[in-house]
Amino acid sequence: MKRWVYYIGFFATAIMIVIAFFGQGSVKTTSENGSSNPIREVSIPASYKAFDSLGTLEQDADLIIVGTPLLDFEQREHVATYYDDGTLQDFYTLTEIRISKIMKKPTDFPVTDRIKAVEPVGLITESDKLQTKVKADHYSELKADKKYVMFLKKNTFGQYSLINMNNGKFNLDGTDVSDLTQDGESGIKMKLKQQIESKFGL
Amino acid sequence: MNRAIKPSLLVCLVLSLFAAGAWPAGATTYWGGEASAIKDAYYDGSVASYGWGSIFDSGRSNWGGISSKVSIGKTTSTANYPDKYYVGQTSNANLWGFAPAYKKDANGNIVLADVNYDTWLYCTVSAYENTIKLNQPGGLTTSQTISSVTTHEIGHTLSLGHSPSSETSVMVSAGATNFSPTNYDKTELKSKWGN
Repeated sequence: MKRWVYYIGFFATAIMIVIAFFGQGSVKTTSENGSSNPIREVSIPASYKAFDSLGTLEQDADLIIVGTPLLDFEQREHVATYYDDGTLQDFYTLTEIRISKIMKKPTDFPVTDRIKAVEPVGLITESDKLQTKVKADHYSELKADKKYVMFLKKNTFGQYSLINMNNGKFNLDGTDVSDLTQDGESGIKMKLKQQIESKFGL
Repeated sequence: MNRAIKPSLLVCLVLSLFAAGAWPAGATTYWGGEASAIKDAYYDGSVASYGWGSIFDSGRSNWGGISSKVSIGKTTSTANYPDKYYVGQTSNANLWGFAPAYKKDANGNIVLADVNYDTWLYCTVSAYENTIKLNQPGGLTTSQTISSVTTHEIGHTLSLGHSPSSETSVMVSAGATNFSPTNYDKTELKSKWGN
């Protein structure tokens, strides 16, 4: 076999090793006082009620909006709850959103252009005094100043919460690369996005 | 072909697959995990408070009898870092449960582990009572949903990741359609821990 095949295989391997090294396995830490170092990230496996069609997703949502988050992730309200023995029970971020369009709402929804939505991602401080960004099932948070269509549902505490994980919010202006690349399985996210854009004229 | 090149190409291919994260783990198992899958679980008081003890018992036993290297017993002691099971509340609508893994860092602190890269010290399983009771999949009772969720989350503590939704599996992330390990799940379990 020609020598060039060997060289191609060698360089392809080297490139992949570099990609893997700088990929998901890397852990970066930051100090509790919020220094500029990157934050450790951990994705926690989660199970949830999911939808792979617009019809069922739309039916389950209480509120469907187009909106823009106002603050960067680190500036938002991060909440974590713990069991009596100190074990992590729940985590989320309350993200304030400026509403630009409402496609579905409950009859008692107030006249407002602002809402706070629960996202399944948060910042917690662990026993080593370092902050960790925890996310449910590889969820990628809404980014400040970027436009999304969002499917929300009231939780048992009366707050509006994102549903369907990464397939419950869709970046509309193509500026959130992490949102566009979260289509992990069978192109469900892309399919939903196309259905949403078609139905709601977005 | 040069005799030295053929093995080199094979090594390159193997390393490529390794770097891409596609080998040697199965498609839906974590590279990380606890040192052994023969372990115990401790039930927090919340489990009895909600009356879900027997469902968690079933969740544990569902993963028994598949591999001689996998067995989850029950303990009343928190010594020696058993897995811990809880019933709790969440603000994330439609979230039924989660199963974080923990490790001990170089300074002895217990912190969240990366399920794909770390050796875990133990796991916790949380099943959310408020969302499970309100948001069941179509056609399932509350009891069936709880059973599916607990079996699923306990599967994570055995280093099983999420299965593709196209598979018949209790480990699909989205939705609860199976209540016990399927043939697919059993195959994945054995690929991780052996027969």
